[in-house]
Amino acid sequence: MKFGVRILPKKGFLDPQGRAVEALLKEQHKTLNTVHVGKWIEVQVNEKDAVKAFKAVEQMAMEVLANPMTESFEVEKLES
Amino acid sequence: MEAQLKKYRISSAELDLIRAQLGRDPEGVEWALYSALWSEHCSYKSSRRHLKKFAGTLKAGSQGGENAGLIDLGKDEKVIFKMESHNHPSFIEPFHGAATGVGGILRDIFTMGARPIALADFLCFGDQPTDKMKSLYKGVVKGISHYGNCVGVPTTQGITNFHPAYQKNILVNAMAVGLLEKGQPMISSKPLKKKSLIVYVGSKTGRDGVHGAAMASESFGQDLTSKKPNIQIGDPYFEKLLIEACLSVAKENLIECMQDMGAAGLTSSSFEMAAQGQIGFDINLDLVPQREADMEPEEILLSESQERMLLLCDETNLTGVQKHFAKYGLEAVKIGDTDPSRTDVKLMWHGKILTRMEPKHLVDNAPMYDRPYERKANAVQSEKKPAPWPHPALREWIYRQYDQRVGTRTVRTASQSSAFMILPSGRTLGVALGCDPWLTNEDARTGAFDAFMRPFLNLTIKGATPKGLTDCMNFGNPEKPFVMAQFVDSVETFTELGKLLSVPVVSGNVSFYNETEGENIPPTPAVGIIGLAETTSLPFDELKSASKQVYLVKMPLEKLIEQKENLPEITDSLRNWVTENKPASAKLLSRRTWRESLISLCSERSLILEKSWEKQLDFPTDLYSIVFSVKDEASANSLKAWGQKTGFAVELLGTAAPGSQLRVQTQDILAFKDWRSAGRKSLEAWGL
Amino acid sequence: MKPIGVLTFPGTNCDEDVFKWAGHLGNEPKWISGQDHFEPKDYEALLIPGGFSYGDYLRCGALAARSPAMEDVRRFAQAGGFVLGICNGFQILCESGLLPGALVRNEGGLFRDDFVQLRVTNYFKIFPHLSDDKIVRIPIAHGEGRYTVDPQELKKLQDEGQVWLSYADNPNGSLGDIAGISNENKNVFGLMPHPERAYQPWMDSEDGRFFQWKLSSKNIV
Repeated sequence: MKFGVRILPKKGFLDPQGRAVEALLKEQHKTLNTVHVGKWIEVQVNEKDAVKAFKAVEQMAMEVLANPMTESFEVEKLES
Repeated sequence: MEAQLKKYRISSAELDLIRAQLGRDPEGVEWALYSALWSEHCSYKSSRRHLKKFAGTLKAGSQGGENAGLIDLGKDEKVIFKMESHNHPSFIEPFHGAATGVGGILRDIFTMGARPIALADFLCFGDQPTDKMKSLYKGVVKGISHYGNCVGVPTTQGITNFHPAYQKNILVNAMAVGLLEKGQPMISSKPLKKKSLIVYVGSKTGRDGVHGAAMASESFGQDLTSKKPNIQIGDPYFEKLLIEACLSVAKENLIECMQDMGAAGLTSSSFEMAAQGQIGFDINLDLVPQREADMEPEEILLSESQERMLLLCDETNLTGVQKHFAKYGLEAVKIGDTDPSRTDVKLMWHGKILTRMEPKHLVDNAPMYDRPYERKANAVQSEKKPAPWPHPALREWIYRQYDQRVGTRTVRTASQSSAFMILPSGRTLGVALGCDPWLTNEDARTGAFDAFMRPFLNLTIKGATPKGLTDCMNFGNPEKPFVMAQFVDSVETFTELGKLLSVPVVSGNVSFYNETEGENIPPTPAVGIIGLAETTSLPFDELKSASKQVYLVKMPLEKLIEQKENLPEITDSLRNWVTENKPASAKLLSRRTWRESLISLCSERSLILEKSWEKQLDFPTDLYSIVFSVKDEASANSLKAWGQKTGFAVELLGTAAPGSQLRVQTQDILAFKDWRSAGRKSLEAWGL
Repeated sequence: MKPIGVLTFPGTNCDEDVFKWAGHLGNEPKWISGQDHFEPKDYEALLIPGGFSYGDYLRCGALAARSPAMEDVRRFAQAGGFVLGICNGFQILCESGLLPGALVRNEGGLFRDDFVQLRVTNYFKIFPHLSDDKIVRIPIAHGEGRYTVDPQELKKLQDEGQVWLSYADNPNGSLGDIAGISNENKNVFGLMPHPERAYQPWMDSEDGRFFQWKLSSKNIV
């Protein structure tokens, strides 16, 4: 089963990457408002039970893929 | 009321003091002001009484009392430096904690108009490579590397200690050194007695670290997750822009004074400036640039968002200041005015006055405790076994992640015991660190003596004259008399040696409450000494091709302590021997066995020891053992003469030869490459 | 002789070092702000220093490559002018498409500060002191120095003699041990090591002096 993990800086925390990209892009695209930079990680697991698989990926995200202190994440099931 | 006191971390005795000052209870934002400024971290309430003793070490050409200390080296070269701790945040989030520690110490330097030219780190970890400790070790180094490299300041020196007592409470101290450009006067944080604009520059204010200063002043309990504050995120790229903008307005003489917003952010910088200048401040909190919507005044006051400065300028210079900052994409916003006709600070929110407070209540008259201290007889039996200083591979793993040469001032890197940076005059500035918990844990006084003397000697044996000292006093809970005694002993030792050896203590930091589950860290007064050498031709630690005869000088620690009054003469004459005889190498040996300490000299040359050494190789090196490679008979004789005069043993250790082995006559003892491979094991144990 | 343009972007931190080095070698360096346009005809050559332009955010050199001055650097290069990109400068040139390939994270994922031995693998008249097979000792300091390019392109680079520097002992996993490459026209050069950190007697190596360029009429714009 395939999952996507979307990781972004936690709301309220400084996003240095977003800030720098936003500043440059704004000069070239006047309609731009904000930019936030994060990660998209695709994970495949050998688990037939969708609930179990989802929980497993959530745990991976919590423990390794994201830093829960500074980042927020969302797990999404993907089409294989 | 109790809940209020707990929330703002104010004791009931302190509440009484506040009531005496104000004639009433604190109201509204005043709670936040007292909470921040009366925290240990900001007020130094447990340490101030004793830190005043350092003033006795100051002399002409040195200056304390500002954000960082200043030493005038002559030839229009002034150096500004300081060390600071970021222990608690680094334990919680090592990468960001260490990174923002670097950011913070850099701001203390460039807020005075000096360009940062070098960084150094002092780290203490537990010695058990548990998963937690491994992640702390890797995270801290990565954080320092990330911030220092990006901001463009080389981290050219460091000490890393591994000791069981830090397993639950690591230490991360960062030191920065800056240079005032020729003709650039130091920028003070003291306002002039005139009407000026209060200008906020740098990053927007968010909710980072609200209540952070109070957090840093507390010990850790079992439940670490509850100490999930908003972690401060630093941006070294932004700081680089801030450095250039601040230095350019300083250079153009557009500003009157400047202070960085560090612990307790806007609160500490504004109240401390107002207290220093004894001048009224009118601040409109709603004008502060905000990153988040709907921020409350209290949040704005307590925010620890990084990369922000507060400066004062004349109203005719505001446009100029804004132009310079705009060049770097930074904001410079007027948030208030000063008023020389009064002395209180008025905080306003959309025209409404939140409070009028005399800064002297919060700053000058912050509690200054006279905590009881009582030395505890140490139960620890110290056998003469080698202090388990780690394999140098662990240290090398660290400094290889730090850019050593950005700025092209680096003459000697972190691979050496002292770093050296070239100055515009062609002279070199040395940086050496000290403090060994294996000694301080046995006896605070002796440990403090060593914390001062090891870096002092490290600079001396390279031919540099130590010129100034900064310290980071890391201790446990000051409410415990034995901890307070350790602190007082360390302060008094540095004061005594500083006076004796003409090394003023010009800046520093105190980190108390390094206590976890009732266990206190050993006294850890970290020291950073800067020194001046007249040349770039400095001895290396290791033997070089010019090395021929190798001599060992033994300066027993107990003897140095006994003969304190002779230290100036002893060390001056040793330094003179070095500058006159130019040894190719000079090294104060590490605290391992002789075998392990001597092999590190053999990266480029073999050292062939005299036969008598065979039996001694597994014994620990004596404190202090110094190895010089001497280039000729005359130098050897004058070193021996020095030994005779001062009463220290000077003996022939061996000779240098082509190769890279430690040998006793013809017998190989250890090859440098095998010693390097042994380092692999240490690295593997740490998951590196 | 027209001045040598030294580009600087927000976050570039080796600019002063490169400026000093260029001057020391006998050139007349002049600052060019990366955020403004400049007239290519005003310069003899262009240097792009190392550092962390725009914090290395998004990708190293990505944002700098898209700033105003790079359009003029492109015009200068297309007209045959000499451009040298050092470290982040090399990354910026790759992101701009002025050099093939890309620089990615070091193998092992760690920033690496060290001295390395480089082998000169192609002689260019423009670098008269760097003869074929010469070994020079220059420092590196980077976290994203691993050169990568698709295999067909790699073969072309090697066959066309566009690889001018290789690591004697690969410190970062670069494909083909590549430390420096040039474009097809041999007027744009990039290298990861820092010659501006090795040219004074006290700098532990003076081999950075060998990177002084000598321009021919071909390179004057």
